[in-house]
Amino acid sequence: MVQYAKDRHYMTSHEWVKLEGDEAVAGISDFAQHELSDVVYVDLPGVGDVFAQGETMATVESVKAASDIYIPVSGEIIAVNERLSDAPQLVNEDSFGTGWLVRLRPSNPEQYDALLDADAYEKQCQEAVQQGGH
Amino acid sequence: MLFAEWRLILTGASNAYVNMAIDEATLILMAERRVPPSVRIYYYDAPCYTVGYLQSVSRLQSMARHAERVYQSHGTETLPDTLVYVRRLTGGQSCVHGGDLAYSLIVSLADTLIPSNVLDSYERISYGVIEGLRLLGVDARFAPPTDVLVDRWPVATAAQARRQGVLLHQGTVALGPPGIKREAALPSVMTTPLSELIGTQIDFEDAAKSLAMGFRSALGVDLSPGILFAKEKRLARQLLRDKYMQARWNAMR
Repeated sequence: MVQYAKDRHYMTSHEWVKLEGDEAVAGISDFAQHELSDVVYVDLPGVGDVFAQGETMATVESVKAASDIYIPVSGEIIAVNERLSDAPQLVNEDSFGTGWLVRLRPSNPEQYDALLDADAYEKQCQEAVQQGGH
Repeated sequence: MLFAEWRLILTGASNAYVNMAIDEATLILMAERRVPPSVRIYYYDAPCYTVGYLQSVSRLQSMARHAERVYQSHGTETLPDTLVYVRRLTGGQSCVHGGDLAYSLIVSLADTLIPSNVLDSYERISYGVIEGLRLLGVDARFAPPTDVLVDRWPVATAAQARRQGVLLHQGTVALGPPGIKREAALPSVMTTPLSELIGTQIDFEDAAKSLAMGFRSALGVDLSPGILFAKEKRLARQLLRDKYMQARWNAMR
């Protein structure tokens, strides 16, 4: 059963972001990790790297597939999930929790409001499943 | 579905750098919706390796430095063979090329003909390879997650990149031996040449035609013979010069 966490917003490309005070945490959705299958490696950005919304911030490898992961809101990376270097499977096991990818300081927090809420994102995913593609 | 008609491109033999540059050029233009979904079938003009996007080549680098030192200190008559390798956009381990027929399928991730699920997409595309082999008189079957087997031997495999909303699926079908020994310092996928299994060498051109027909049938697409666009060739030349022939890309990990 695919989960859709209600306390965060989503990109159409399946990344989530959750605001925590002046900071934000980002990762990929449960739907995305199901689509990717077993994650074997996560290539994360460096602390201090600055990205504009939608830029590639990470690469996830699963079943010989290298998939780009995009940053949901613009900002500076202030921490990355170091546990993923030894335990990339956390992305599969708990994509909304211990499988988070980066913590960032958003430079334009209003971008959050323009992202999909959980209901809209769930609707998008269900439509994609019905169509047989994304 | 975004495009009813797909493009089939047969580019013949090129070196490893050129082949990777062409694929990225097509991927970039696909992301900009400037080219139709494409299947390119090609081969390599010399034995080489392609390495996975996230794969480390540090052992290979240290081995090459050691060989260079031995050459310089002992003054052997010939330089050690330099292993030709290029980094792919796609994941997985290294793959040896030379006796294989290669293909690249490049399509928008929004195209509903190819499942968005990684495992399902490997299976769907692999059935094109299986159908192509059947047309050549070879019985093959899909072995999840990424391989095609003849009897119990893997003769074809594939890897993917998903970026800019585009799927790049690169596959290889081992028609004959690659012409170089497997490099121990570089973990590689294992394939068995078809020629060893069926006792005869399949012609590259015949195999390319059969593979194209296999994709037509298995994917249910109108695969129209086409060529690389001028803008695609220009971009590929730029990527070749600025990226794929550069150590900062090929040896970046």
